[in-house]
Amino acid sequence: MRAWLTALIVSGLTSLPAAAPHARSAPTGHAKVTLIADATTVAAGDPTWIGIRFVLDDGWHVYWRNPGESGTPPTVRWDLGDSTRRVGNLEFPVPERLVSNGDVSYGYRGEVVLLAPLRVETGGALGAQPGRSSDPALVRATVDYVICESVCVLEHASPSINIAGARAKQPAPDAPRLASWRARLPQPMPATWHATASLGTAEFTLTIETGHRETAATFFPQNPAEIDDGATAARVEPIGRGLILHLKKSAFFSKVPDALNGVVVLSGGSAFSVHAPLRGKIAPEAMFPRNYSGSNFFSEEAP
Amino acid sequence: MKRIAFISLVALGLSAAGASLLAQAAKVGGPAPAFTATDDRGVTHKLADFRGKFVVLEWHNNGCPYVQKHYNSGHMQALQKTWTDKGVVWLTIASSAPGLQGYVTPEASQAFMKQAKGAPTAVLLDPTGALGHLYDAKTSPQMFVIDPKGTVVYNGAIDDRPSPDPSTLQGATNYVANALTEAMAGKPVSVPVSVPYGCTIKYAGGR
Repeated sequence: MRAWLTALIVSGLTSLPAAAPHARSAPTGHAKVTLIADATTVAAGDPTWIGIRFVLDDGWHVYWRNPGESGTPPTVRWDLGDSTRRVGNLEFPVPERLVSNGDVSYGYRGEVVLLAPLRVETGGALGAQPGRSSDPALVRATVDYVICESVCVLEHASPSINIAGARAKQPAPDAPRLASWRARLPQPMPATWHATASLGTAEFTLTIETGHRETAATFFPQNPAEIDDGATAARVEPIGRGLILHLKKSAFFSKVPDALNGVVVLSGGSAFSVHAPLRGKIAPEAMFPRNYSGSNFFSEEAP
Repeated sequence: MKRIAFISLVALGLSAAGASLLAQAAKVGGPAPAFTATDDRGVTHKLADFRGKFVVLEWHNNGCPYVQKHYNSGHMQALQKTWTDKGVVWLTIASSAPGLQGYVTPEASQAFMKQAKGAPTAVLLDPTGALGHLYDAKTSPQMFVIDPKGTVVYNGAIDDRPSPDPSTLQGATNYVANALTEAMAGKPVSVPVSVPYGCTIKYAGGR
């Protein structure tokens, strides 16, 4: 609401900005969804970080990019207000593992800010001048999200925020909040670390080598068809130079991946993006018959 | 949860071979677990009754937005009609526990299907969750296709759009229709398994 008021005052409009065609919002929604930014402006150079902030009703949760055993992650369509602007992919902070009645999902309770970098296209076909000043233009996000307690609801929100073009990025009051949520994005793994995976009959192993013994880890898989989500908190085997995670195969596993991708959270809470290429021989029993045809079938699980 | 599943297995006349039996249940390429269940008209059905026909199992919760995507659009009902017309046995199954979302009394179940103009062969009421646990069904919707020999040829999502948004029906690949078409033509099912999407099944005492 405040963003609209600012738009009225600052740009001296006497009529309300045109309602976005998808400006639906559930009046009895279970989250307050707003747009925040770390700057009131966007300039050439550093991106301005935009956040979709969800403040969730007590007991409700929304989902990570891989929702786990149920649910769907939020989706967003952007209206950037200015044709010289570009927005990057939505980034998801490290989720929680949510266990409810035996169902395991990956998501967020309380509050989460999903992040995207806003940039100005400089030069090129659009001929925009770097650092050109421009009037504030409304950035609007049309957000669809599944939010659940014991039951799930599909909700919609269309929050907006004014961002002007300027020569230099001017910090906004929400800059510290954006910075703290950016710090909760998984970091790239340090160059000296290694991650590899292997596939057995009943489980994947994920070996993470950090250079010293690790005793605890949680793995959040990027792809839903590989790991049994119910087992992602299971067997951690510390080794001298890191640890090995034993991850039961999904009941819906059907294709051997090139790598295990996801996020690993180590003891202490530090979180890293993992890309662990599959190494070693894959036993025929680990394969899934891609084209089931009558009796020609491997039993894939050891009793 | 395990105790209920054990009792259910015994009640269904299967030997309780321990956890591995449950783990093997409803694997694609394996035998569809035998069951006896009662529908919303009080009629008892055995899976064995349908030997010689294709059988579709559709896990259902009429309050779940993912299920509503398929029913509010008439999409699920059209599938039921198309395939039952071709001789497929379509069983809609409600495994929600009393008091939880998706639980229906026989009267409420009949009323829902009537107003929805659904065309399943029968709606099986499974409030103890025994049938759901037997198949290790996780979400609503979740779909199984069983061939005339009693072998599971498909287990997973109804289609490739894991969202409750009705707009995602357009252009979706329907795994159930494809599995039935291929299997009926004597071809291997090209996508025999996929990750089911939807709401968690509201089992008694959790999963």
